[in-house]
Amino acid sequence: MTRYAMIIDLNKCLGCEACAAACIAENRRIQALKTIEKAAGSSDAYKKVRDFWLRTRVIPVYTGKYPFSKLVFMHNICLHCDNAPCVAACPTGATYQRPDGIVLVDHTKCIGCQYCVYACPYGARAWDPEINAIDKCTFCEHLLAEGQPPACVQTCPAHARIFGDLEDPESEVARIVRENKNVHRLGSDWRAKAGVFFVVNPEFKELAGNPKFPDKEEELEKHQPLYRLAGWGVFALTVLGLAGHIIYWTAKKSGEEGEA
Amino acid sequence: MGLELTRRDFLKLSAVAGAGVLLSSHGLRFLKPVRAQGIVGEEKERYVPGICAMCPADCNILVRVRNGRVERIMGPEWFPSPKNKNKICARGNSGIFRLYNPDRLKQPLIRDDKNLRGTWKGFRAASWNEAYKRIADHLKKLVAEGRSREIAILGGWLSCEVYRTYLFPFLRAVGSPNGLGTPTSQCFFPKAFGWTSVIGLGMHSQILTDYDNVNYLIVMRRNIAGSIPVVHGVRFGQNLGRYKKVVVIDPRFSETAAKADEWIPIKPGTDLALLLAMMNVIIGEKLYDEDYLKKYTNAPMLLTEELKPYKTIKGKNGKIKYYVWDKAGNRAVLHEEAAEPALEGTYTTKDGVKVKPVFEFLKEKVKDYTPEWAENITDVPAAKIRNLAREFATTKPAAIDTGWHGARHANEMMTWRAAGIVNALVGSLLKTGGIIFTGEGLELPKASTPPPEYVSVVWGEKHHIPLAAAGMSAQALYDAMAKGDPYPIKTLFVIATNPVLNICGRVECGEALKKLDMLVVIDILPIDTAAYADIILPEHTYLERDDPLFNMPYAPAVAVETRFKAVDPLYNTRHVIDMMVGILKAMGEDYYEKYWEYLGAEINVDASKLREYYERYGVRGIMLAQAETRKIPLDELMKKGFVVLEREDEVRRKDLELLEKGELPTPTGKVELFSLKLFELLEGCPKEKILYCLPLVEWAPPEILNKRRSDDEFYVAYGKVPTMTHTSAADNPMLQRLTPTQDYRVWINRESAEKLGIRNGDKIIVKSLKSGREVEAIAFVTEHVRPDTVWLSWDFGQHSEKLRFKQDFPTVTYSDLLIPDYEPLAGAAKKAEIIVKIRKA
Repeated sequence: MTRYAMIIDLNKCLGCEACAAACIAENRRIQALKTIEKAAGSSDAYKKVRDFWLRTRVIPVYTGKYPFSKLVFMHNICLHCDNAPCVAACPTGATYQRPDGIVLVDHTKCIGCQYCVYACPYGARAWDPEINAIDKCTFCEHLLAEGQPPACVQTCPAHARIFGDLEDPESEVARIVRENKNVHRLGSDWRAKAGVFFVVNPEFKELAGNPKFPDKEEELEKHQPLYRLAGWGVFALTVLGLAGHIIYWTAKKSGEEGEA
Repeated sequence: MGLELTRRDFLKLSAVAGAGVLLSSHGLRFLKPVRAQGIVGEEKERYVPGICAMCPADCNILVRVRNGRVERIMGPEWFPSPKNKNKICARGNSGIFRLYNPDRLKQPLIRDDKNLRGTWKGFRAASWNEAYKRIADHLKKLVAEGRSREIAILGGWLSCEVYRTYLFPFLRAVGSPNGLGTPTSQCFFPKAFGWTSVIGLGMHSQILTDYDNVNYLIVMRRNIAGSIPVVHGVRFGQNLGRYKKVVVIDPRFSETAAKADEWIPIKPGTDLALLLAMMNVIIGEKLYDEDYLKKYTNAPMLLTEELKPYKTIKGKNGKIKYYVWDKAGNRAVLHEEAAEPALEGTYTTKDGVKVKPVFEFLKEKVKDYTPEWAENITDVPAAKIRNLAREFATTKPAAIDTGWHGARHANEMMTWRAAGIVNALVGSLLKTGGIIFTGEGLELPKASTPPPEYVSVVWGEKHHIPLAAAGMSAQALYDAMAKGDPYPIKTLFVIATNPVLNICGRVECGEALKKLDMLVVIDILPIDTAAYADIILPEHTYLERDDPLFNMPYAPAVAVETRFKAVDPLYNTRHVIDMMVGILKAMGEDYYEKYWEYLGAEINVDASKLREYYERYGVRGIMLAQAETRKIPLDELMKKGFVVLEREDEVRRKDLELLEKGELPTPTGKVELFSLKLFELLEGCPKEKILYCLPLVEWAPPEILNKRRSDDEFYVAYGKVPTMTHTSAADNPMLQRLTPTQDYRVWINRESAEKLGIRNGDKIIVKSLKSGREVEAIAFVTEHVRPDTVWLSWDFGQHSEKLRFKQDFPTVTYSDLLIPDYEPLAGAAKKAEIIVKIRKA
């Protein structure tokens, strides 16, 4: 079996954002070009491009007190969790996890309810009007299929993003997870097991205060009621909204219903 | 065309043979247009090799193209380059959005009304022929009137690095001596000369910190991670975790500081004092590498009491031989004959001259530069300096990084010279784990003498700026345009640079440009400077052009590289070489023929072949003629975009050999603790500025030292952000998207901000006490900068209304804070010699 996984070594990340830029070019190029075209014709071009959604981002976190200043570059990306809340929240089965661990969205099944967007604790999904579906990190599965690494991994100058098969004991990711004491698997004490691991020094544990980086059990506990609430909300909304969506969906994608 | 390599082809590692089938090794056949016929729908993807042009670091890239559109730019994944390996940065990845930026200049523009300069009014679309003819007629008139020297070219880093060779023949053909580049004097020359005075080379393309082997690394006055030239970033980054210690000396907590073990927030401009104190400790505690100093440096060289070389003779290899005190024979002998050269002591020669070795002078010189003395100046505790010096000298190999930019303070040259000497004391220069020469460093042709009428030569002589010509002083150009000093320059070509933002003084520079008879701006985007133009000529982006053959800079390998056109030009744009040639052609056959003659001489290729190939194949023809002449395997070049001629181990071996044989490009061939080059220049250095150009080392204070008078005044440290490089990035929509909010802002220490009632995100007024001008900005209140210093990025502050993706809130135009003002040695910029006053808006 294969379990694809990514390690993001925050001790190595230089904060250059090559990963985010490579991701735009590889995965959201068409959307970017359309955004640019629309923005150019508007009076607030800068704002419009700043609103452009990214599958992965680098977030500099400044801490410490002068002169004991600290800075770490946190990364935001879909963690490709096992038992992912987004998969659970999806009413149509559009969001699913492949046996190799990659969480994907089947565009033909996506009805745009965005429940998964609210369910995801990491802000790693968004509705994309250009593709008329939810957009998220795919671990560049189209490149993997050709034997190439994900775009962000390919470009990272510091070798801070590392990709491979967790089940293969010889792989670099397996070795790091095995040997590096500073590896954190988000959600490891919770039901969702992440496919993205972070290497981070103990001094930055305080980052757990950032809701995008809950690596301590207490933190997760703090967030969990939120997810439960979201889960109930999803259920209620699903019941209320499903009928309407199905009408819309069948009208729009009736030709693809066989696949659905 | 002819580059139909698919992803699968690349994945085959036997692809060299495969490429041979695809691309005929016969130089010209592949150029025949092979138009895909009858293909409907999806074209197979192609990978076209090229060189990134988003910043001056020139990374090798592969461009993925499908259906005539660029899909992605990536590092050379399947054959790592000796420069950037297989990596590129955010800017490189965002090159697509330079190509497809709707703001691009799309056709030649002419403006007939000079009164509209400085605005975007009055431009009309023109044909290339009309634009060429107008320029040609003007130039011919100047030539006929004997006013050729009034013509000048100002190039940016791209033109300076790779196209200068192709621009100088144009200037020669029209009889002008004036080719200048903004990077040289405005960016790096004083730093480069500091290194040159020690090891003979100093440009960032010529020297490299050996990140792969260094154990103790000191980084000062630069931000490797945040400016991320990938050639350095990839090596620095991938070695993180291996270094024994990384120390960053910077008034601001940079991205590099984030990766360091220790951050030393030094007072701006005072690094030199810290380095002198390090020398004090290393020499005082005898922690220096005595063998290295005796063998490879001129530390034993005898000087008289007036600090002049005792006796020198010129050797057969052109190197200067000097005398040392041989302790074995107890007499002065030529350095190569000494059995036991003395580093210390005072001696009297047979002819009765009192002499001391350079090292003895150095020891005496730095005796007073104690850590306690330096603490007073630098605000770094003496104990910390002492510890730093001890660790540096005992954790080998250790190095102080080469730096990149270096035109901040009046003492820039001396600071980098001192950095070189500290490296020499611990035996790091040209050794594994220290500072090494790159392939370009080893291959560099002998420097040519600038033409006697060159504006920087004449200006430098007049104002006693000894290195003005070598440093291509942009100040000379400014004075010539603004004041006719030393003579007027009235016709200017601005190529891929933005002088109103890059030459000190935005307003002054604009006024000077308005005085020109003709300003031609060649660029890709409607940058601020273009608003002053009479003629705007739009250039291809780097993804739309073929290029000549270049020597690979930066890398620890000797290699050649080139660019291949990835896609057809989107708009009615041209290659800058086509423009130069087109103008000369419009001037007449004589001029046109001269271009090829001069170019041929410049690049050692037969002129008639160059002309013939160019006429048949355009700029790619120039590359072909070069490749044929230099016998570069074309199939490999076509596949990879570069061909390695000497690998890293060979370059390292040659570096060591230069050191062993005493053949470094310094006057003595040794690492020079006493610089004979500076000694020679001493005469030209004005007395009041002599501190800044002495041949040993000397404390030379920055001009701003202790000039901060109140809580609302600040020193300025500026730098780069990882997503931006000058004009190539500031209007790039996706790079704007990726730039973190605080990088646009002025960084101000929390405590200092509180005293002024400034909160994070507040609008503030920054007033430069130098230029007197006030600019608006947004404050980033932070713990990551010294309380007496503000930090900001140089990359923002564009005003051009045609750049639609520039930020919609105030950012500082750095050149607004400056006035045309120059450092004493090279007429270069000293951009951090300012104090600003800050208040809440």
